[in-house]
Amino acid sequence: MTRSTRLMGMAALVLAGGVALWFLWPAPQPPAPQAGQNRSDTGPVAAAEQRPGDPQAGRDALLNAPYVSCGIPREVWTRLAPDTDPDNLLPGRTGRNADLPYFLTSHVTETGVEVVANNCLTCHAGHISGELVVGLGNPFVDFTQDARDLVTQSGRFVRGADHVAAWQHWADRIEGIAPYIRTDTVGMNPATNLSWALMAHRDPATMEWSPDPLLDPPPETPVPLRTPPWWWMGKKNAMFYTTIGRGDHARYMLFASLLCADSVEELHEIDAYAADIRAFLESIEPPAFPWEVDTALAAEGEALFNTNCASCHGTYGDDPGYPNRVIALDRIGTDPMYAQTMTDGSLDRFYDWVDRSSHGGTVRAAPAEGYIAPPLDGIWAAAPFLHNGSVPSLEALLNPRLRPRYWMHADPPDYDPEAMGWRFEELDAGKDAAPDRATQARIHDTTRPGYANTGHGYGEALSADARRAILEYLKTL
Amino acid sequence: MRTAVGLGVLGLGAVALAFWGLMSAPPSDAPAPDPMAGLLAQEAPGRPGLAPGWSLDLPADHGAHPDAPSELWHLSAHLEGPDGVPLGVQFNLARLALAAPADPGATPDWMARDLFRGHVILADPARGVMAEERLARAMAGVAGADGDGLRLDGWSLRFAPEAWVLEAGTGDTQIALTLTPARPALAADAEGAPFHGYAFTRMTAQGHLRNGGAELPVRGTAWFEHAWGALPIPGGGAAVVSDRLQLQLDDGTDLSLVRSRRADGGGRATLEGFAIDAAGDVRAIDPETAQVAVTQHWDGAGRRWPVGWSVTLDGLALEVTPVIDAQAHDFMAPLWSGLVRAEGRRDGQPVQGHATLTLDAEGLE
Repeated sequence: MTRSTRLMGMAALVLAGGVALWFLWPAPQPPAPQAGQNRSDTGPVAAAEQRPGDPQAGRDALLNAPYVSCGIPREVWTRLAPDTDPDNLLPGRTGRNADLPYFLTSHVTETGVEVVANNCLTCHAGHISGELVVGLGNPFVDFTQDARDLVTQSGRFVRGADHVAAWQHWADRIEGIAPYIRTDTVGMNPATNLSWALMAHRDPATMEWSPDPLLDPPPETPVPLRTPPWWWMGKKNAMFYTTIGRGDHARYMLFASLLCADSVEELHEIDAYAADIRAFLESIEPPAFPWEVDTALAAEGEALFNTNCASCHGTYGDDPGYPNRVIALDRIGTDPMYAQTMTDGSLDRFYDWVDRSSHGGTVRAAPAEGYIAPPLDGIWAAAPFLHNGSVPSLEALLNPRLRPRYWMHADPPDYDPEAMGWRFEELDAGKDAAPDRATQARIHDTTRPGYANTGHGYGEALSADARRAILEYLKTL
Repeated sequence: MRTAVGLGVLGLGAVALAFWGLMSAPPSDAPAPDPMAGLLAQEAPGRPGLAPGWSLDLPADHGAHPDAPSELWHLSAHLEGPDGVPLGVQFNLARLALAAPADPGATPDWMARDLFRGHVILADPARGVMAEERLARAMAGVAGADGDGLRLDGWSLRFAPEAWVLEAGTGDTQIALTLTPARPALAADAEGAPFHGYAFTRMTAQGHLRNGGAELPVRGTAWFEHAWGALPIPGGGAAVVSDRLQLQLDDGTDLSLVRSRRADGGGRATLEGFAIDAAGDVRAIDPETAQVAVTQHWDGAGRRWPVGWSVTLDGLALEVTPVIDAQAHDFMAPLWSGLVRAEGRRDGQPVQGHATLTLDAEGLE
């Protein structure tokens, strides 16, 4: 593991990235739960009005504001990682953040202790074709270590009553969530399970943290999920693969607040700029495909795409449109575990937590038993594909016979512009045959529960030439 | 041939215990700033820290690394006399940078630029436990470390090419050991780690224990390690403290285990470590499968010390028990550190050995 990856991994454990946390604002009277309000139908997703925001202010807040208010004393971080890789510096970071890696944000606590905490970019930014891209779902984020190890490793360097107290605030939270955020494959994002774990520890009305869970915690093993790009948010009427995130999208993004903020008031402070952050996310343009494109072939591909793909994924170019459609499991055929666990009733206590939180009603947890067909803007950069990242390239997505059963990313990561995905090594056996735990964590084993690479077989009926043309067109999106 | 291991395997774990504190822990409710916080500030004056791209260079790396703000050397020996009675010996030396080093070629001055702190522990079931702690500023001939050896007053460890020589003691009791590496150095050179270091986990040791007029021949094995950089220094109220087991089994296995726990008693203890088998193969212990359970306490020196461990990993099951219960030391950072025995089975076959167990006083009842 390279140093930067390891440090990223360590940092990632400080707090999982900034996805999926539905979270509600205090309201005078929470609405009474209604039958069926925590489920959505498959098919079209209706639009929900969003609060307006200032994208520029949102970018500044995303990169600099302390929406995660607990973390490791900065002095300790500096001791563990004295040098910041220049590739991890991001323009637009100000003040104490200017010389921190992009995935950490500094905050001075009320007791005067400067702490650093992972921000949203831990999972929502990454390097591709030599560029650091904000909004890219990080395909190499590593949650396969026990987060409690970082508690120990950092705590050895913490001393002084104020620093110890600041560290304890963070360490207690990590101890509470660690059992639920450990994935078994690098690149998988445990944010959904993290959400449930945090809700289990917090009173929905007051946000007070309870060392012991107040609700039955979620299963310890997160369902494997790949972080989607932020630049799709502007088109989607609901958030996340199952469209569970309904209502005010800005409030769904207050992930960090659930980890650290212990009062409704602190959340209000963050909500004051949450709409700006949402506006920025929706303004993000996907990175352009940085290699050559055969425009004639792409034009052929566009016609094929519009005939074969657009009814679910929308149209692009001069006549853009996006249908916002959730495809039922029995039709799409991709791994059903995620949508099933979201809709089988086993997590309803958390949807109820959302409803009982003081602003229940501005957002709602209502998954559908299926997956939304995503927009395909910047799809070249979104590898690996499907909601569980089980297919390493678009070439393999369109030709199921090429999908590897067992595979791992090339090390170091290397993008293959022809296959439109990360280069990978196909393996003869899965995780069970791995010689050690580190190798095991790198193996995508599609025979494991939740990791199946089945479904979305629409490319199978196309000719090889047609697939090639569609791939070329996808480079232009 | 060297074998590299990563941060957290040799690195953090090893030094966390070997580098004993230079200051007493302040009261937890003290309003004054923690003196250690300033002393251990990242930007030690004139100490730039570690340069990238280090690789082990012996004997030069035996000596002090003035660019590093802190540094430690630790030797543990597991010996026995002619009657088979076990004897534990420890020599520990730590360096802490206080000011910028003197310019090369400058006239020697009296300024305290580095502080050395050391201790010697002799655990002898026949004569009891003898321990002494010393403190000195760096000064030629008094306290220092270079490629030739370590010195603190009359204590010394000389890195002579043919064999190392330890001479140390307390009161009327003196130990003299000749030490020869039986295994290559294990380097902790993970890129980006906050410190560098190396360990000779198995050395042959023989010499004499002199007590008054009596002289007892002793022989056995020893374990030496040295680390420098930004080290977690016990004492001073660290949020996490670590207990350490350095075990040498008769089947040729060396095992380093670090059990870390929050000083406030919260959370879950974590395990790190490595094992070297008889063939010299090194591997990190798997914290998923390795287990340490406390099986015995000793109540003394105002605390309840977890002095007996049950260790389970990879087909190895060991019971670790103290050779002497009362091995607590009232150093500036109090600790229990001494000789323990290990007995158990590996894949059904009996195995035994001796070890040094070191327990941090912080966080104990």
